[in-house]
Amino acid sequence: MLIQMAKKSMRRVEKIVPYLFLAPFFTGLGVFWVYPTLYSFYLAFFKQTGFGQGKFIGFQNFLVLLSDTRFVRSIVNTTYYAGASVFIILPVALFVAFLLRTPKLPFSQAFRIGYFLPMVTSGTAVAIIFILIFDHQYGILNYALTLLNLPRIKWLLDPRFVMPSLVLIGLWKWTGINALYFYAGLQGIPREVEEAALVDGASGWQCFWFVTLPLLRPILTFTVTLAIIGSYQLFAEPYLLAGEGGGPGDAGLFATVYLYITGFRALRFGYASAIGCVLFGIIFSLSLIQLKAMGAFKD
Amino acid sequence: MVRKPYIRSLFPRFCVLVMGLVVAATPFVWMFLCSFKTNAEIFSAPITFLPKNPTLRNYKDLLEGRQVPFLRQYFNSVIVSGLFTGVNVFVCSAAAFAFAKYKFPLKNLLFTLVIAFVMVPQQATLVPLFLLMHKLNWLDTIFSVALPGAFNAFGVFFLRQVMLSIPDELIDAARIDGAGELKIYFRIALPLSGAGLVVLGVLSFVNSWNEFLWARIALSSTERLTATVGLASLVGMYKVEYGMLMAGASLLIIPVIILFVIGRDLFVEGILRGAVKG
Repeated sequence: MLIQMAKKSMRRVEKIVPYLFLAPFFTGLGVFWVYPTLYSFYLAFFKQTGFGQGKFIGFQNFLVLLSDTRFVRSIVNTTYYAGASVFIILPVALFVAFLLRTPKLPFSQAFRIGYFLPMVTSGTAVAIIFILIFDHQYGILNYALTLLNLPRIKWLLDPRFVMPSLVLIGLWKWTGINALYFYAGLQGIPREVEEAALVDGASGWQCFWFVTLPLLRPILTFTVTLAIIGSYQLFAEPYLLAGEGGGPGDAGLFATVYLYITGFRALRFGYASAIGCVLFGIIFSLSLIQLKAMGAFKD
Repeated sequence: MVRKPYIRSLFPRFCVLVMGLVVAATPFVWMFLCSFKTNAEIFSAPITFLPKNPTLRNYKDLLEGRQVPFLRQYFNSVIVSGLFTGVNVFVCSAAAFAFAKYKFPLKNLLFTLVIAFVMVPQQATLVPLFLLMHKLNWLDTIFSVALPGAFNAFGVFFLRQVMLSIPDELIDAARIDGAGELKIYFRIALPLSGAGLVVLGVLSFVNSWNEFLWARIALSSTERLTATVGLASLVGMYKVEYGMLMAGASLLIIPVIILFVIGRDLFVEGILRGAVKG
């Protein structure tokens, strides 16, 4: 009797307990994420500069965006960077992952740490270091070029080289972590599968292309989407290296940098929200693909 | 004889990897070296690699606050990252515990909401968040920088997966022994997901330590800036003291390197597992 009563009251307690555990997180999520996200979509339909009252203008912000050359430029630049990430950084990372897979590799621990460190370095520090490395006169990169009898390059001053400079930094910063992702993916592929293909007469290249790569597909989807999302979120490096103005001829203007200048320099809150919504659309759909690839929706 | 895929000989592969390591390390080494050089030496031809007359002046000038109160800003960063990490690990672990170990109405709906907000980028919220902080009168305080990010959905998502592996029998046994739900959370769920908590804590600390965009927006007065923003404000100055900037960058990176080297296995495994586990 007593036990049954205890059980009953326990069950009643149990009913509210999970909500109590969820309450702190969902309060914060509501205030700092749900409300701002919804409000951002609302604000995107208003013309509002500064803290005053906005004026409803329908889809006009989005229409203006389409013909805003600086916005289009920033999307083109960001997409250029995303493309370079996918077609330059990821293949290099995959190559490094294959090297890391060498059995009995000495100092493998040192490689893991060394390749990982650039990724956890703050964008501010990265920008500061690379401004000096890219310096036209006194940078070590140009010094290395002169040693090879090549002409010096005005990395950050020549519009043609601003994006390649940023891609080089990306290559330095993101190759390691992507190599580790690929490495983890390769660990999941049994050697026998590849060996069987080779026994059946496939060349090394065919084995890579038709056996290993398809088996890596979940990891590939993950790294590709992550690379593109990362490009659309990149801020500190282009902001500090190309400057607030976007660099020579806006050559280094990134989407997030443009959002920042419109919103927090010009205080055009409505218009900046519209940019935020566009970025939301791009990143949210890519993340959806990515989480699917990770199997987040399975359990 | 099976031709082994991709294994030809160890030595050339090892050499390529070492070259990669050199490339990865060079910017760091260059930064440390330059932080001991005078500005005149950094901007002189031909380039010197080791500092001719190693000097600590850059560090001294920086910490004495000749251009920005860097020591103060560094301290701000410690406080902000500490608050961020503490709140993040606490609220996320509690929510993750509920999702992993209880059955309740609306569970699936709420968890879908969590996953949806893993995918919402920070940029979409910047303007409204700024207006909200303005209304709350929180702009230019540590709360405005530390709090929003601390409620990120990723932490819940990550810790839920960790806590799913806690056996239900253990929790039922504790309940039969008369332990309250709060006690089960503190005495069983948290200790048993220790490694996961450490991984999330370190990741949160590093993320918050490196945060630039939102900190740049939310903070404005020099003494309240975090170190990343404070140091960045020196970049655009008319006369840039590069030795000093390099000293500042070194000080920014050192805690992260220390954290990383101490917890390297946990860190690498955690990130890979959190990201890759299906």
